[in-house]
Amino acid sequence: MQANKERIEGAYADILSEDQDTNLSAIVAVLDRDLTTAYVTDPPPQVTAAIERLVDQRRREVKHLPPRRLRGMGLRRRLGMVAAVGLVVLVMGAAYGIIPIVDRAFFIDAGTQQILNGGLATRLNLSETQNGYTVTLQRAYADANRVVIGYIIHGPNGRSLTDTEKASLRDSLRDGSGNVLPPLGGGDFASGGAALDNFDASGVPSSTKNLALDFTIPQPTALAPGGPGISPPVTGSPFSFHFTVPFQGGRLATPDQTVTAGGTTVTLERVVISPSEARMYLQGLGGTGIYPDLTVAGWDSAKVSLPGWQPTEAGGILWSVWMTPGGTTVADFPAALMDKHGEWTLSIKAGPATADGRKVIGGPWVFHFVVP
Amino acid sequence: MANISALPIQHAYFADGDEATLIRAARDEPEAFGELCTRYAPRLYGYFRARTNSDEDAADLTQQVFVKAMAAFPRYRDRGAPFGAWLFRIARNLLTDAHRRSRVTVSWDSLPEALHWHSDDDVEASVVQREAHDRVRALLGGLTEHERELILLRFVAGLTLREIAAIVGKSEAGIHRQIKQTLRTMQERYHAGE
Repeated sequence: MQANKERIEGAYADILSEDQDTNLSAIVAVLDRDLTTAYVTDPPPQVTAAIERLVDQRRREVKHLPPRRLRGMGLRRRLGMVAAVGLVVLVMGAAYGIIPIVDRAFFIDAGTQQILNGGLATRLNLSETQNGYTVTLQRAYADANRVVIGYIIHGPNGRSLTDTEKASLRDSLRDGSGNVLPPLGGGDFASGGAALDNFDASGVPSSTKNLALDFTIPQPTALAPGGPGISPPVTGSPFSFHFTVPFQGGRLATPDQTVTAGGTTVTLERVVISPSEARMYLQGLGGTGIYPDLTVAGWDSAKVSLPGWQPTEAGGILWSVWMTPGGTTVADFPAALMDKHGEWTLSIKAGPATADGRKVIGGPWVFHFVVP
Repeated sequence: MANISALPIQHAYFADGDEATLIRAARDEPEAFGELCTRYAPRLYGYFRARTNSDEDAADLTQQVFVKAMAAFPRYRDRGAPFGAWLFRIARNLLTDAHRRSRVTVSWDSLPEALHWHSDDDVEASVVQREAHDRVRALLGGLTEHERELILLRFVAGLTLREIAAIVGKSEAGIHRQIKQTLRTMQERYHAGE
């Protein structure tokens, strides 16, 4: 009985942690028991078989794909946890409607919107067409934390890409010396074939004034007739672009602050603030489910309605977390924080994901530090 | 430039690896994607069982989620919604499409009692399941569609409030309030019926 009570309190901590309402705990226990009994069960063999078929199909398809240039490299990306805004179409004003579609993609987070509005994103207008597919690089930007590239891609006769074609796109970025800039995700959040991709620029020397870049996108893979998302690839030369953009430096703070909570010690080593985001480097965090929150001078990363930010139709990014190959946890807050000085507060909650997907929240580790 | 060393993908990750590692590996390794599907299959299947009229429909829709997810997965970004929320968004869209086609009819109030439990040899389990289902019907029957959905996503799908918020496009705090209020309503009804 006690064990079950503790299990319920742990599994539903997000509902029950605030108050000790025994009645609420009781109804949660009833629902947990009855809904699980009534509905949750192993799926029938046909589902398992379908998964196996998909894996087999994909395995055959992968054999025919060109080797992924970034395969196995770079970042052990952690859960890119996002407080997605969701249905924010309502905030799209009339002005939004006249913004070019690739520029709308910059609205995916407050940081990229800031660099767009501030005129920091270099207009490229580089276009290349192969086998009917056209890729147009419209804008690019680079600072001490990330490189951002906005482009549009269309299929033959200007049609939009299918999901499978989009799925086959794995772009890569190298600097002028051939060093790979690891991808940090992005998305085709705007309509009209526009995409915005991010790459880690932490390895670029801070003394850099102008950054030469080689951006490569493979040719999309066409959808085979009758193939539900599985198709043989169309091979061909990748789209390749070479260009140079100004490199914006960042501000560095080194709190090197250690906090222990629940027996786990976490260190906030350094903070890099650039025009596109503020980045925190942490040691000691493990497992999935890292939930950071940054507050500074009235600004709170948890707030959807950041001043001056209009999220895209699909939502927006408030923060993301990933891990370097060396085990450093990185928390990115994509917002305009270059002019924020004084005391900053970073709060981290964490907890390993359990087998059933429910999480036990640990921490918080709270860091107060001053950014000059 | 920082020295980014190669991280060969190891299949050992798949047995007990965390979800983020699996997601990273799944971009290149079909087996990792299969492992993700396997992990989520019971929750998706349970969710569909609660939202459809037959186990066959639930199994069919579960498979469709994975087919669509595999096609779209390479464009899934870590900076997007949490993976679980992303999968359940696909699930909800499929359910909506199924409703439009009237292939799957879902009306909680008219949910047939004869459905969802198996007529196999395990009579005792079947009885327990039927009794649980009766209690669930009584508890959830008076809720709005939105309230039922929140309860099912939390208790059957096992999603966190943050994931549910990402799926339905509300704030986490708002979802927290709504679920708590719904639970209090159910609690009163439960005690009144005792």
